[in-house]
Amino acid sequence: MRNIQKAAALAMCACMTVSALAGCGKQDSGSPNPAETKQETKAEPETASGQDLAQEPEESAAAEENAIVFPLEEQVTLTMWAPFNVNAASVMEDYNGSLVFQEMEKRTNVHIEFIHPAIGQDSEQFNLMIASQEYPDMIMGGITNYKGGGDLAVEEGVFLQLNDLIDQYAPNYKAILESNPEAKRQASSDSGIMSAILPMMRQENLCWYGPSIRKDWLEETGLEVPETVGEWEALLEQIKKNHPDSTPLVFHTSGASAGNSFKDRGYDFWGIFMSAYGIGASSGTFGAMYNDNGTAKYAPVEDGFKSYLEMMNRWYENGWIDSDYPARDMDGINALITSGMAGAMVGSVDIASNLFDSQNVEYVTAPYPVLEKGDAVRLRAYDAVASPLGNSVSVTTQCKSPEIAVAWLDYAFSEEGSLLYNFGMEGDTYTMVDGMPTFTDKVLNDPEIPGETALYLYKMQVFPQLRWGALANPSTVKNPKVLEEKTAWTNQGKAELTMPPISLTAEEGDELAKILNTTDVYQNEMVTKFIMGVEPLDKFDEYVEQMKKMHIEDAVAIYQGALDRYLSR
Amino acid sequence: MITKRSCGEVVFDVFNAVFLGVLSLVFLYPMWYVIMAAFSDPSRFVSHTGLLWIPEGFSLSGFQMVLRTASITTGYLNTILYVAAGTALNILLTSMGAYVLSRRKLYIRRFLSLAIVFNMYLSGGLIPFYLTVRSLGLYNTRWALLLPTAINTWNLIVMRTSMAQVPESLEEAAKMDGANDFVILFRVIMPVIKSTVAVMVLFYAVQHWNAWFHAMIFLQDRSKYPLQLFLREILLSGSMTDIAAGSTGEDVNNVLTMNMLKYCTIVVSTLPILCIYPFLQKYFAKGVMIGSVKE
Amino acid sequence: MKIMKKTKDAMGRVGRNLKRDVARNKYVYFMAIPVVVFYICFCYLPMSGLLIAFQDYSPAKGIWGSKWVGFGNFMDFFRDYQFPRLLRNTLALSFELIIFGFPAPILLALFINELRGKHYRKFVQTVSYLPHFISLVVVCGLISNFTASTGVVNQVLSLFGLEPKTMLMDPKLFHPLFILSDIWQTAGWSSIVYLAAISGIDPGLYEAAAIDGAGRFRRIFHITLPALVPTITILLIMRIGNIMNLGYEKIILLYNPTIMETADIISTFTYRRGLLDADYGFSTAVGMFNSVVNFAILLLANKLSRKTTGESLW
Repeated sequence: MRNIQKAAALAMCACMTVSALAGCGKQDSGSPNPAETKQETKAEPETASGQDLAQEPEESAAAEENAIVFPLEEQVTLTMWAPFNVNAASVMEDYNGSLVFQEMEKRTNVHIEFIHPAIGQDSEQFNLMIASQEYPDMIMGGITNYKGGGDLAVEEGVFLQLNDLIDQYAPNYKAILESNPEAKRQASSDSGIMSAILPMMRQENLCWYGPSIRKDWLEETGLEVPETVGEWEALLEQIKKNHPDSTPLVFHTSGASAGNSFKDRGYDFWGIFMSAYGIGASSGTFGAMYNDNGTAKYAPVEDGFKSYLEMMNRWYENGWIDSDYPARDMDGINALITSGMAGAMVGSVDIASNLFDSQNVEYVTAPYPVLEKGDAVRLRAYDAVASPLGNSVSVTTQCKSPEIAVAWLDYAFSEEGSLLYNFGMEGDTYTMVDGMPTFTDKVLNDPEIPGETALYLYKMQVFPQLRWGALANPSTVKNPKVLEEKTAWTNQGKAELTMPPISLTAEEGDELAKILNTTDVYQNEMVTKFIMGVEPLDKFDEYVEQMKKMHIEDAVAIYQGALDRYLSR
Repeated sequence: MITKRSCGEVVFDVFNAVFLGVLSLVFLYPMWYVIMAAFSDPSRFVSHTGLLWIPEGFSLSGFQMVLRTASITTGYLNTILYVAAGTALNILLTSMGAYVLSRRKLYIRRFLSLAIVFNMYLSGGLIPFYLTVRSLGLYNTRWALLLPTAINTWNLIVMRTSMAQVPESLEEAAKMDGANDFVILFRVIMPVIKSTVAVMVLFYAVQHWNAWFHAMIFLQDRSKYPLQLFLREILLSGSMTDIAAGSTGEDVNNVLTMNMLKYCTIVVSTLPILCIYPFLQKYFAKGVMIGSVKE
Repeated sequence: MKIMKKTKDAMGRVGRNLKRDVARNKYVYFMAIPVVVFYICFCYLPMSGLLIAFQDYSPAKGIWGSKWVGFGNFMDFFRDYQFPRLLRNTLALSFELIIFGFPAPILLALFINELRGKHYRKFVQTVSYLPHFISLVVVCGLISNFTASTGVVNQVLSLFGLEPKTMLMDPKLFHPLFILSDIWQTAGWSSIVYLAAISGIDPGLYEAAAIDGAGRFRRIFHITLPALVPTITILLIMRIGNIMNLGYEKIILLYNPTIMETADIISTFTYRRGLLDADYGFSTAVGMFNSVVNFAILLLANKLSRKTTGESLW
């Protein structure tokens, strides 16, 4: 009992110190806020500019200099709410444990105080933070977590509109937007509001997802690596003949975007084969919508989808794909592949190499399949220029010095900043070889620090920055074969049939959730029945009719509107 | 108990022993499976299907990953604190509440019971609850894990039901001796229903042991995290959806080891709490002298 | 006027009675204080959140700043194409859980109590609650592993000449699988309450019965079971009052498009909706609908129980 009392007393003490700290924070945010008033003036279009800011007494000093010079003369502390990563957590208490932020503090004299929510379920914790109406200076992932998006967050007075601040204090970021029209389009919303600083790709990121085949089983058949759907069918038939108990083709959903609303495992998630029929994926981040030359479409009600289902049904009946696929969970899929009973898999090549390697089986990747030889590939896994959106950082209306925050964020887009974030410190974690930064052994071959931890210790994987993508990923760099395979897929075709990062209004989001929550279930049930042959494909038209009754066309229209707005940005 | 067993009874006893034996196997198997899986070699375990009696190969890589990533010591110490302090508080408040509700002649008894049962079925939801706890100044304090869960209504009702069965004659006798309600509760009633109290201790302790949600939303300092929250963090990031989100495939190196985490975390987190059961068990086995059952 | 006077009188009467009662039971009231404070702070204060059900809630604006939408959220739910199926599946699964799942721990407790041999009894008891400690992800992994076409269950069934098949792809088998696995997970843990109640029975009663020549079965039916009735009744009432609350966690780990027609329930529906769109208004409205149904059933069950067994929750 005494111990408990002691512990309780200790807890009390801890509680008092913390509430004292919290008190300080409150005072800051409670005082009349220059940022808030400034934001109001800016909400009126075209009035806000450097002069406007200069009229504010607090801003005058910064405005006169018209730029923030790092390192600052006096240290400034800013708070940032940022989801933490579990691999980082194994070597540091917060992101200040990373070499990158230690160096950043030296270079800028800005100390960042990180507020990390418990790992996982970030969005729930984000909403609670917003509900508490006490915001830190900066928030990471705010525009993806805020219901209704960044525009609404600005309108509801949570985030600052950053347009003018970026104009003035983020020269590097601005230069990137100026030089790349696609980046510019993605950096602001339909109404031209910039509510966050987004990470930007320095060059197109490599495609990581596609088909890979067991090399020995392929060689057994004497066939070439398949390129068309027909060649795939011939190969699968042969594999089934040679190995009657095997599953010639397994669809692995890992590495695909996790936007599906409930598990629909084991079929062509990213549309690897679907796209051969001229349609986009049936699932993905944006429901199942894709963009066909400026027209929003929904794959599962398109005509091409029927031909695709006929193919899948044929494969299912022939035993070329997993007969239990709807009930096979991730462990089951992994077991299927690693038990040596799978001929080919569609999935992330990183995972393919992982699974095949663990059984000492060699594999080869195949190009994205087409219907006829010479057809162009119009769909593949890709990253938008401004991605991932979850790593964006917004500045809140309660921020003490938004200019410094923006300037600090901008640093990661400068040449030296980008190198620091992507590769760490020259001479320590990377060296320049033929003008290309190359990781040192410290990063690549330390048995104590696995690749996924190095991503956070020696470089900084998250946070907005000019990203080098796979080229700055130690695990990929270490495995040249995978790098080559990814490059081959990337060069094979464009990701035309994908929905760009459009933005929806809050009402549109609600409406869409209502529709898709209903159609997703029905569509998944019917597609499964069609593939398994429980329902004949004659019923396809009836199914499309039913989907229309469930207002799928309204959902497409919402996307069309958003796509039009996006394209005319 | 000295009477001879009839033929039917012997058959029943044999049947019962065999039946429960088979049942025990069924109950035991999943835990056995988890322990065997936790010690298996990830690359061999992944291709395993069917029953698992001994580890597939042998490897501690899952445990190494758990130990490397989670602050196990901090987590254990915090959890022990929350379990001990929390359960003590639970038992104190629950027994007092149950005592109040079991007073048959108390004027407000029905109103109070209804008011308490009512909120088992209606709650305001997460956000208002969070804001209330925050406004009480409990945010980022250890109290946030103790106070909001101080009473579990289900347990309160069970305890009340148990107290209501204690014959009034016992209390009357104590009252004659001049005992007040506190003395009656803690000296007369609690000892009589000690098997129920033991169950409550077990339920509350396990509840605190497994709790992570309040810690997740109310705690900011990682140094206050209970074990389960640390474990949950690695478990979540070990799940495939998270890996899938890293579209460039950054975190996939350890797919196979990650797969082991769900077993290793169970072993790390469950075995200690399993140990308290035998201590409580002795209270269930002994019958307690009660004059009569209810009136 | 008359009504006002009447209420005033009633209030006065309540006040006087209360005063008298407080004076008589001051320690009891003193004990009630922390309990009442707890319920006010952590249960009744947050109840303002129920208003969210009638709103298009925005966390930034808070309850008082968000837009009111009347019964819009409820109508969205009722009008949904899937609503009848969701309600049917939820009620069916719940009823089956009560009918088959609720008696399981009672029977288990009785069986364990009748075991001869102290150590064996302890062993069975300890082992029976182990599944309670295994996370759902692992439990569901085991279930789908065992019921796969090559799984253990099918191997056993094929001994009886049944065709092996993947059971989680048969809509007819989902409910039995769900309930059996639920019993497997929870029966041991739930039986603890009953075992504790049994251990509270006066051994003298058994001895007296034995002297009267009562056999084992008569002792079970005439002493053990009657002693359990209050506990059983109260737990049953609470269970019945939870009829609409079926968690989503286990089902989302088990279901798939082939068995949605029997497996999809209200909570899985709201869970999916929450993934698409963090709509607090909608999920609160669904929760409120569940609560109202639950509470209505609870009132009925409580009344019925008071009439028949004399036990009641309040």
